Amino acid sequence: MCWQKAIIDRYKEIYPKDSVRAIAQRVGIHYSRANRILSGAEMKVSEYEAFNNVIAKRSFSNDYSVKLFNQALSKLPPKKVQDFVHSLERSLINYQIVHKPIIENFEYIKGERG
Amino acid sequence: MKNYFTLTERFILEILWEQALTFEEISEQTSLKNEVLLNTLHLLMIKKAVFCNNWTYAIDKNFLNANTYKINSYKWNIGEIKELVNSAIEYSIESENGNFKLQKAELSLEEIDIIKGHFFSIDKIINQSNKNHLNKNRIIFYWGHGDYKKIIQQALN
Repeated sequence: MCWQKAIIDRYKEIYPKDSVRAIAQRVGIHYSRANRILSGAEMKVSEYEAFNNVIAKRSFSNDYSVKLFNQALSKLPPKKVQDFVHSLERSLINYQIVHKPIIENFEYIKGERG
Repeated sequence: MKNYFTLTERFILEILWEQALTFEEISEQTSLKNEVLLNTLHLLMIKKAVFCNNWTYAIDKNFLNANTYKINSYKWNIGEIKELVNSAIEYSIESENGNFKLQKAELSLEEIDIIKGHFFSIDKIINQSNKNHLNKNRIIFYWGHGDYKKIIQQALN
């Protein structure tokens, strides 16, 4: 359910003005089903994938970014990669401090402690 | 657990270093939004750097004394410096009051020495400043210089 919330939040960031009807149309699911999902009903895997595909299409050059990250990981010296990861990590913590009112959302910090 | 402090964590630690403060007092001194402040204080408490007692937040001196060397080490600080400089550049671009300056110059050795002298004076004024001013203005200065060729070389390493 945590992943479901994350993907819906991401969708809303990309399409903040979409009504339930617009979401249903864009994702390719029935209106009443979209309504139920937004009210908290659990997504099916196929629905999760449908949401994910819609997000991936609109996300900033998603494929290109992933390709670039992989290239960077395999080609750059470890020090450069480490610096980049460190900087990315700090940006992510800052983002979470600002955008996540519930502290338990610091997943990776908790993960490391776990 | 991440073994470094973020910008906001550092900011709050620096403020709490002098005295324990309530949430409202920290809020007033930092101008951070309540949720940002709450999240940051919580992170500091998870790291055991800060504790809360009678609605007052204070630094856990035992933790910080045990980790002073690490906290002030170059390795710990370099991430913060990069983030601050980045943020200063972005602020300068987006704000009307931005004044970040970077100048490529061709100067004689004498001229370089004169500028280095000014940098030395700035350093001296800042480090000798009376830390107990009543009206403190928290401000960040950034200065420095480097050989153009060596800086380019560093970027290529």
